[in-house]
Amino acid sequence: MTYLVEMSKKELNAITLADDLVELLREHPSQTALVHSVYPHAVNLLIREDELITLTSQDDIPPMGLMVNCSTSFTEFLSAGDKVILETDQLTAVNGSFTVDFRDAKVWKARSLLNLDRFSTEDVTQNRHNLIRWLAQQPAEGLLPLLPRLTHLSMSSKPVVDNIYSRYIADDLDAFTTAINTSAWEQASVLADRLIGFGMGSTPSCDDFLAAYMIVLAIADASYPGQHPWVRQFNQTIASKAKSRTTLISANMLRLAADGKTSRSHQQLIQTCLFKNSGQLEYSASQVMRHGATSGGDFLLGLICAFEWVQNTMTDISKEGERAWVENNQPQPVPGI
Amino acid sequence: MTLHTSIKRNAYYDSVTLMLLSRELQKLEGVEDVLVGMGTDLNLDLAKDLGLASGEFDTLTPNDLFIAAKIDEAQISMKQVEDAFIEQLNKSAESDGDEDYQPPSLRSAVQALPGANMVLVSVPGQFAAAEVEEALDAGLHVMLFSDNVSVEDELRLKQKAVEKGLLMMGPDCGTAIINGKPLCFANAVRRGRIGVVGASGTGTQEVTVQVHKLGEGLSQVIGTGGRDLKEQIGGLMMIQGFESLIADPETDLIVLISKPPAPLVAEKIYQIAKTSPKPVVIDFIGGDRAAIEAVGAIPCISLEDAAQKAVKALHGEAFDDFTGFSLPEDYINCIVDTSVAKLKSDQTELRALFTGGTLADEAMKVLGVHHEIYSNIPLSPEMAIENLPGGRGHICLDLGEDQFTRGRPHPMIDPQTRTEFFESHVDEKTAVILVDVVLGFGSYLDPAGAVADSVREIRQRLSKQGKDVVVIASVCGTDLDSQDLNKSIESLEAAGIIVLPSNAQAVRLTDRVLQRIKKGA
Repeated sequence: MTYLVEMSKKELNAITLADDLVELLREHPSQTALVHSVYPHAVNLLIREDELITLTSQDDIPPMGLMVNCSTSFTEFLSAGDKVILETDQLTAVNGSFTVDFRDAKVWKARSLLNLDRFSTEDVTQNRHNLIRWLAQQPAEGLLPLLPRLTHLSMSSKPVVDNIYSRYIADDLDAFTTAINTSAWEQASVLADRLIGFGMGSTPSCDDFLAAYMIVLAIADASYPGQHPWVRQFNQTIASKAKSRTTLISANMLRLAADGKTSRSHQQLIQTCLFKNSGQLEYSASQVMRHGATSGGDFLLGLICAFEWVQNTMTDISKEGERAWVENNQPQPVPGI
Repeated sequence: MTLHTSIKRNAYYDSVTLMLLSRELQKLEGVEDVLVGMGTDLNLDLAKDLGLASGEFDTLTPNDLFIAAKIDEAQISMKQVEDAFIEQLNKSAESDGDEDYQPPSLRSAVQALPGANMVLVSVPGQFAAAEVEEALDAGLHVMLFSDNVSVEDELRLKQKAVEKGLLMMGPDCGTAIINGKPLCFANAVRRGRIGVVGASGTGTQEVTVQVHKLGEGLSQVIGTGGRDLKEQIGGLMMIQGFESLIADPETDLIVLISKPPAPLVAEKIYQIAKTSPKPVVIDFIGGDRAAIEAVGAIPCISLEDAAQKAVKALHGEAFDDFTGFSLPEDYINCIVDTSVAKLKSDQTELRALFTGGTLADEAMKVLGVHHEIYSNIPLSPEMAIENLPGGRGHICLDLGEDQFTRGRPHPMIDPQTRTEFFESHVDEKTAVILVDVVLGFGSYLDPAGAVADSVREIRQRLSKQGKDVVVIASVCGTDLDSQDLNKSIESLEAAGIIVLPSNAQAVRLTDRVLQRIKKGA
């Protein structure tokens, strides 16, 4: 006798797809992926041995990601090891538990930060200052107890309670930021060995910190071509080292960051920090802080340190980038799928 | 103590989960030290540094989770530590369920909360119109907190809302109380029979607070956004809200609050008031009294006056303009005498530092009768702060204006902006400081304490020059607000601040003190 277990099949719709994922689906129209890790509101799919695609049901989208309309936890119908088939217009679980339809999805540009016009150090300086002040009021988790030390500021408003991770890595982070600030990138890439993979969670704290640096460096390189010829090599070195030194999820994040790619909320914050903004800094920063317990804060700390390098080294001024960024980020219909 | 390591291969948890788990495990009886992390080389170095490394570490990869613990086996076993880990993990997974669900789109938010009929939109201005449009298309009322929305978008969205019989409160709408639920900046007030439509946030808060203090309550408080009564928008939401309250069986009296509307818009509102079956109190701050009376509505001279007249009219009692003080006149004179007596002859200037724009506006209307007040929201262009003479003069600032909030929180949320202005704008020539202290949902947890601290610092600074200063405040808040009205008043009075029960009275007292200084000079 055959027992048929009737499963209620989830039929989800993709709301937004990252353009790098659209590109990949065009180049490889049908491929199998493995569910690598499952969180209540996100799933990582493994393809080609070490690359990840992220499904998310939250109001943010990472590079190589797709945002889906799902109000229940992914853990209810997905497990690590499940197989899915990826096609140009849909994703299907091999066990038939769910499908995601891409046809009405909009496309989001994962690399739009690299198309910005030039920014002014004046705006960056002001926004960095405001960001430090705002961050000082947030719970000091992850690397955030190091905010006063890394920003060379005394913050007497509230006592900073550190943790074992931040205490252990303080000197190494300090040395790394000093090296970057003096554009001693070869030394910095050696010092990064003491950072990659350090911290809690599937994206360890120092990786979030480094990701912020790499994105800011990539933007500076794109906005001021030729002025910082070491950036590409530096970013690629970090991404390459990350392959063996940190979690797969984090190594993927750093690989994408090396190309100037980051999630939409992080893009929005960086753009807000680079140009004059109308009171959007706290909103954008709080969106980033929503990432994990410490990831958002660790990224913000990295951003603040990276902006110090911007302040110290960038000189050219242009303030016309904001509109271009906004236009670049308007969702567009999915071409061809 | 014994060292143990538990390994979970290819296990991925976010840092929030691991951090909470670490803390919980550390609390277990018999656990001396514990470290939870992914098996990266550097995390293992840390474990070694803490004396938590064991031989099993050799088998770890960066994608494995480890729990390294130093335990007293007489009290706890590693199995119990692992069980506690799993238990906490399950708890964490439960709390990560639907209640923490953050929908990625309006559509999924509505799916997750069936029956919801109102959306509060608070996203950067350039994205707001699209969100509102989608909400209106889905048949939802909207409160739009965002600013930086174009007039064209506002008009289009409000027209759509009116067509569909929906509310579109905003943009830049900071105050509403719908079915007893305070939205954004609003005070905890009791429910009752008075409905309010307000085009000004703190103006609406002041009226609702005064109504509560007088023992009455609010049915609905509808915001419109500050531009609604300008000619381009035509008062679409003031009219929509007004008509909704006329139709609302739980509303017996209606209060309308705004700066003076464009004449054509005012006329439309007056015509509705004329035929309203319910009494209508109108406070168009500095508006046309005769026109209001001509349609049978009740005009007011202040926000407090609007609340008093509303409550009296609701009770069928007679009323007059309230131009005085709650305290006896003799007592007020005594305050004026003692205040002026402690000033030196060169102390003549006012520094009014408001967090509420309408409260600042109300202050200037009263003070402007006898004094020249320079402001960032001047009553006339020549009184703009940029025109402050070299010899200086009185200043009244709305610190909630865009120019002061760019890149930083509104001063009702974060008192830092006003603290900085206390430092930069109060000096040896300052005679009187006038402030508002706004309590309620959305406001800073202790705004009175922040003002009191600043005043103490100012007094300390001025005392070095043998000077003091008069500080007058009003607290816009109720006994139900989380910040506690009475505690706030005590905190201000402990710093030597004179606290009046309304903005109007605080302004009147300021006027009296300034007049006395002028007379003395």
